[in-house]
Amino acid sequence: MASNQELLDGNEYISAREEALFARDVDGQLIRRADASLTDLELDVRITIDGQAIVVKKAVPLRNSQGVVLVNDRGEVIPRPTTIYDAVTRMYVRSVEDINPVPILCHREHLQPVGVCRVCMVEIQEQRKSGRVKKDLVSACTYHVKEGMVITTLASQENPKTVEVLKDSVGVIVELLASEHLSQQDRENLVNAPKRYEPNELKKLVHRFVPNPTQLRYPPSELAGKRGLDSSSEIISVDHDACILCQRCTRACNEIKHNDVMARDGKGYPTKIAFDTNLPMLESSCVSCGECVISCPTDALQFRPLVIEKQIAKLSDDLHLTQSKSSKNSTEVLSPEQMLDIPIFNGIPYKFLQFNGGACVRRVLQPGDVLCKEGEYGSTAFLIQRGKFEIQISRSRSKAAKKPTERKGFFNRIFSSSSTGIATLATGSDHSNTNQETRFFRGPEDVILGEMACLNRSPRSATVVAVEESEVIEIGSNVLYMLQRNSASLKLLNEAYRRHALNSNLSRTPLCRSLSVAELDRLAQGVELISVEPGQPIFKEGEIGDEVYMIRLGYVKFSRMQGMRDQVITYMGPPNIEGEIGVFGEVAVLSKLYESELADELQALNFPAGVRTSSCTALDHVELVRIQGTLIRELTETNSEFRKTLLDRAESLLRRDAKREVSESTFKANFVAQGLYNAQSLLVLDLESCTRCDECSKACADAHEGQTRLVRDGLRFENFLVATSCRSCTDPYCLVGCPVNAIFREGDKEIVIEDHCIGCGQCATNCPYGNITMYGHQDGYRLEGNQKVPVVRQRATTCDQCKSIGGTPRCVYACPHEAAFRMSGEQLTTVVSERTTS
Amino acid sequence: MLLARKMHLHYGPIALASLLILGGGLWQYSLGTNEDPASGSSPAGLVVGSIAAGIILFELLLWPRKRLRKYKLGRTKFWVAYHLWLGLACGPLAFIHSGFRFGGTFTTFLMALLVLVLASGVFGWVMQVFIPRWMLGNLPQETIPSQIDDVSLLSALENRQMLTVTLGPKPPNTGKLVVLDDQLDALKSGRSLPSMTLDPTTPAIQKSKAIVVGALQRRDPQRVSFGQELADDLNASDRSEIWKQYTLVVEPFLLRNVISKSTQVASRSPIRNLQGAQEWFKNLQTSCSDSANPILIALQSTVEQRLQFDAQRMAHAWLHRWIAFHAGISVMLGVLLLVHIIQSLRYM
Ligand code: HEM
Ligand code: SF4
Ligand code: SF4
Ligand code: FES
Repeated sequence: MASNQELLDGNEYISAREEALFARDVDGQLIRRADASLTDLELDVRITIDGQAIVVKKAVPLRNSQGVVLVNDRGEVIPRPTTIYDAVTRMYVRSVEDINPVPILCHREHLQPVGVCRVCMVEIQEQRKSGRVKKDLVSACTYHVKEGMVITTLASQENPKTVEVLKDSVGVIVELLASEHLSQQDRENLVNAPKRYEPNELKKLVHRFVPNPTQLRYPPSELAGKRGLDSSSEIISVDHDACILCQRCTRACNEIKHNDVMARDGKGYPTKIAFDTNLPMLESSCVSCGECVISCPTDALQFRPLVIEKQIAKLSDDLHLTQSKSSKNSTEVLSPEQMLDIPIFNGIPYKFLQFNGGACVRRVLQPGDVLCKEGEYGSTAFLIQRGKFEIQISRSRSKAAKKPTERKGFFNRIFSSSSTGIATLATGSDHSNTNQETRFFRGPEDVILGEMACLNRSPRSATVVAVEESEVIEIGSNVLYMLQRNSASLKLLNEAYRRHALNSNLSRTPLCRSLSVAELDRLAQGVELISVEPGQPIFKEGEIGDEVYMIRLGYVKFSRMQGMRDQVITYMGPPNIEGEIGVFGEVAVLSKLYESELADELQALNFPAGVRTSSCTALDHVELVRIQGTLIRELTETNSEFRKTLLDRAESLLRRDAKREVSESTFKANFVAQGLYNAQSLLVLDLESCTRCDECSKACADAHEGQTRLVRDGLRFENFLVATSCRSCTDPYCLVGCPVNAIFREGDKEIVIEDHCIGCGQCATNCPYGNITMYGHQDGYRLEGNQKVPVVRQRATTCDQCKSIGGTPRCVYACPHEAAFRMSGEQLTTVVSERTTS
Repeated sequence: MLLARKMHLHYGPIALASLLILGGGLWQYSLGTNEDPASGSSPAGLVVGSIAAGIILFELLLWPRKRLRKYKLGRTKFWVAYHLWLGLACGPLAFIHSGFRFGGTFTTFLMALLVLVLASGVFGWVMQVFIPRWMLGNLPQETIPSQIDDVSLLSALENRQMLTVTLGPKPPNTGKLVVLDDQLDALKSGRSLPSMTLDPTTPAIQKSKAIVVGALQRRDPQRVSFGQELADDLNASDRSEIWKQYTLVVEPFLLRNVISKSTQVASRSPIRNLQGAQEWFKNLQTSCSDSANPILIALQSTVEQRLQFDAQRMAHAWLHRWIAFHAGISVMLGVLLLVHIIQSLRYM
């Protein structure tokens, strides 16, 4: 049989017939499907969509919900076959305003397609192995593209007949769903067009495909209207009758949030979505993160009014705050409806905006108004609507000099050697460089400002001042995450990120001081942005290296084999952190380019030119700018100043490497393994003087409603105990993924958790040091008389360095001995090494 | 040296102040000797006495200061520093005040009490300087004292899991466990146990997140699951021998104080001290095949941890028990001092 042959043939994807008829497991996933291979990523497939020829790749990289390319253990990109939906999106969706002609219901770009609703039907014509051309209706979200395939969608102009067929078949499906899952009332309302921001996608489809929603051809089943409600949770209500079993919620819960709470339960008509073993939502292990509600295309999962009210209360608080901060500028909190009227927010679910009241603020600035200040922490980004801003990046960061490390001297040397020789740069129309600052302008074409601080939780890298009357929309990080889920807005943002990252990274690092604006531009054009996941190698010791890297986000470690052990030598963070240079990998490149200049140093290390002297591995999620060696050569050949800076650095790096001793390495290894490089304020207890009296934790409990936020236990670093208490990390992992933006950092270094935390525990899971504790009602309800009233089950608490009670951490204050201290990881190393030498 | 490193920086001025007060007292006293024999009621004696009484009052205030942790009443470590040095100065001052005599029964008693307070204070100070250093060197596994039993319970649970994974379920004729699995679970209620994993570089079992607070989640994915390769090489007699020894000796020892039945067994246990434990495990190792070694090493490390906990309890007692005595008699001293003051004022 031909189809069997196809199944056995590893390079062929399963055909429509087999896909439709069998080979699905209980979850509706295909049991057998040939995986895409790495070569498919480069393989062109020519197809025709609605009469237009288009070339797509046979496979695309698998991405996570944030559009980040995923890689396997070997560091290779994981390919996934390109679907028809992908191809149609490429052709039709060029900007955020464009609408994909293929309707989808069970599919979303950030989810794995399951193909259960079939509303994404398109017609395909493809040539089978036998040579016959076959026509078929297939689901665009799951069907893979094939060479020579001809696709007709609802937008086709030349094929009106097929369009009618498609409309009919989608119409039938939608009508069936409407009759079973929409109430009489809902259907009557649908005589009028639903609003633009209508969260119920089924209603929108009914309006589009069903001519007369009040008179349906198909009667509902006997079960319709009797499937019941689940209102046990305070946050989410479940209406099983409205549920169309599209599985978007289950995938969101399991694949996006990895909470693994939801699944389908039962077979046939009585099938329902279920929590754990079909428990009421409140009793299940649900953490109320809200991801399922945001994903649900119907009214089956909704936020309860109380939650929305709470969000609105927060909203007005926020408004109050921002207004008092900057009374000159006008500030307005945007409602979900207002936001959805702005094109870039097109892809964001309405319910998400409800859940995140106050997440978006419109600000109008007058000339001279400061939007944000360099060095401050901020958890928001600004979408530029109109106007013009000046970006001011100071070149020498005064604080950098205070950093108490051995590396400081070294950096300073580079600073001073290069800053004396800065060429005064050409002051083009929108660029100017002085010894102190780099200035340039940004406008609406730049889309977004301040995204680095928002996404990377790092201090603002520039001061932004309005030059004329300007308008921005300030968004929180979770709104930005949502924007990144949508391929159209992600594309827009990625381009902006790229420009900005290069602008601020390249002009910040002392190494590029001597480059002119034209040279910087040349550099910026020739680089790539890559991201690396924790634990993955960036390069290995002994490899030939021809790339230089610059860190945008995250930390990397360098290690070298010493005997059988991989010894950590040092680590590095992005250059926007005080005193960091953020550039690595240049030694191999330079030693190849200028072998004779570096001969002595290379010999001392016994390393051949052009070879990596150490391995580099990502410590967390790392984003890098990769610069090819050829580009470096080009620049060093024309700019002798640049060449000298680089050579000086390579020389001293090689010298330092040759000197390094093993004992220091173990010390560094511990330092890196415990993540201390990331810590700005550790609670460390000197175990030589600590009498274990527990006054510190008692003081913490006394100061914070009887619940201690520190635990006097943890890992040891030399003679110090690094107690379990928030470290105010430079890159706080805890801030990633809070569904309601309750945890943040603004202004200072402290991490603060606000009252509207819903207790999902995401932050506690994210903190690698166990420093966030969930306190609360385990039962999930409170008794009011005999009534059980659902309440938020738990709340996250973390140490805010006593910021909420006027500063001065009480743990240190209450210690009766010379034992408790707050200090940064770097300071701790200084203290420890002072002790070992004295 | 009694002082911890760098302590002289903030102790120096305080000690100096105390010495000055003391010197002042002596000078006052030397003034007094010329006219009439110095005593408490001479002007010099009165001044010195008042200072000493003031100091004692201040010393007593440490108690409320330490209870009012929530408020910013000055760093506690400075309070304690003053406490130590002024306290030391107050002994000689009192003696000067009395004109180097003991006086009547009451004042003698008062003097004795003061000496006791001082002695206990000095004793405690010495303890506080030496014991933490000893603990630092000798008890790397120490935990929060109140958590000792909890942690032991968890190690027992983990051991059982580890043995079940590596040796298979407990064979029937290997003795009776002190508590059943589900009871143990109930004891530990509410906490989920992570699956067993082993760090490939060390034979010791990775402690679960439930035990070690502040442990780092390993970010590199090099975890090796423990058991499979091991289980294949072990023979039946190893399996039942290890289970038996675990049931009869190791677990009762770990669960001592947690479960009363087990406490009785443990008081005669061959592994109740480090030497005994090491010997006992060595014997067990020789009687089992080599492939059982990693399991025995893991068990031994839990026993050694428990032994460290015992030592920690002792150390903790030495560190803190004396405070009750010191504070108790100092309150008594305070009350009697008040009586002494009222009495003296009346008869002046
Ligand atoms: C007049 C004499 C003294 C009085 C009335 C006095 C009273 C007290 C009181 C009430 C406490 C508080 C106990 C608690 O934390 O609950 C205390 C603690 C303490 N005292 Fe004294 N004391 C006196 C002299 C001394 C002297 C001379 C020394 C040592 C040189 C000393 C050393 C200490 C120490 C080390 C503590 C414990 C501090 C801590 O770890 O928190 N005391 N004393
Ligand atoms: S603060 Fe933490 S626990 Fe609270 S909602 Fe945000 S992520 Fe969840
Ligand atoms: S208060 Fe100071 S001495 Fe007491 S346990 Fe904490 S650090 Fe140790
Ligand atoms: S959207 Fe493609 S099958 Fe549901």
